[in-house]
Amino acid sequence: MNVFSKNVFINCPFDSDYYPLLRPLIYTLLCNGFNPRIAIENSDSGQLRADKLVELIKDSKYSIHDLSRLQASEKDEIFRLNMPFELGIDYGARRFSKRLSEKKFLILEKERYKYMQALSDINGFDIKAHNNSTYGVIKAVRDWLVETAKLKKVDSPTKIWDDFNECYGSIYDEKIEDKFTADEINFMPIPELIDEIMERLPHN
Amino acid sequence: MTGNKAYHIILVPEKGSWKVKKAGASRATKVFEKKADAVLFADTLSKKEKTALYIHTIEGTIEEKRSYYEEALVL
Repeated sequence: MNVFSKNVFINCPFDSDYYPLLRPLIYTLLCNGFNPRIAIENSDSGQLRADKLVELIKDSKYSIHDLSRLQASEKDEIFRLNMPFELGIDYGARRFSKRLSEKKFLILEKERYKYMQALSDINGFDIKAHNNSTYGVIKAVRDWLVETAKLKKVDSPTKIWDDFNECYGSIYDEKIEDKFTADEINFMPIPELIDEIMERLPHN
Repeated sequence: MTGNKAYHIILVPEKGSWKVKKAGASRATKVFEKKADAVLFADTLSKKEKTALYIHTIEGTIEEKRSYYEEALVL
């Protein structure tokens, strides 16, 4: 389904270190009826990555930009610039296109006001800290949807967290039956994870 | 499979404790400070009720699943 008002462009790292936060982020969007859109959902190598991003940004009313991994965590690790670059494209799209002027952003960070040290230009955006926790991501995204998309009667963050755990149990059962290993289940490709979650949501 | 709903051991966010919760229930059966105590308690319940027990990680994924339902005997 590709509906502008339900699409959420996700700008975050797609490495295994970030998966523990990405799984509940995707679950929270899906269980509230939104479509997570990510750059790796279509692996068409003939398309430039930047062009792919622009298409996703144009297709999505909402965006979540996680800037918590900008800082190098080890000596000699390269500073990560993809996330602020994509945020810049998204901001430009909203700023310079009348059709996209209603786009809404959520900026996620690890600790409150940490972003100010690296990117103070975004002061005034919707910024929430997830404290690097799975529950923190659920709460930040769920609360932002209530505030921004004006959702009503949304489940509590704790209920979403419990449901996410139970959903993962169900996915685990099916995948183990299909001879997946625990690692293969925990790090399955994101489009596959989206399909598995969708299958288990009551409104599908 | 069993007719009884499975138990889950889930992290209580922001408190660091662990709850034993039956699938679909709105409240926890019991909350423990230590995960090992939650496992012990839930394991006994699951055996008694012949159901499954999912032990979750702090990320919500599965650390271990224990099944106590009676499988059909296949000869």
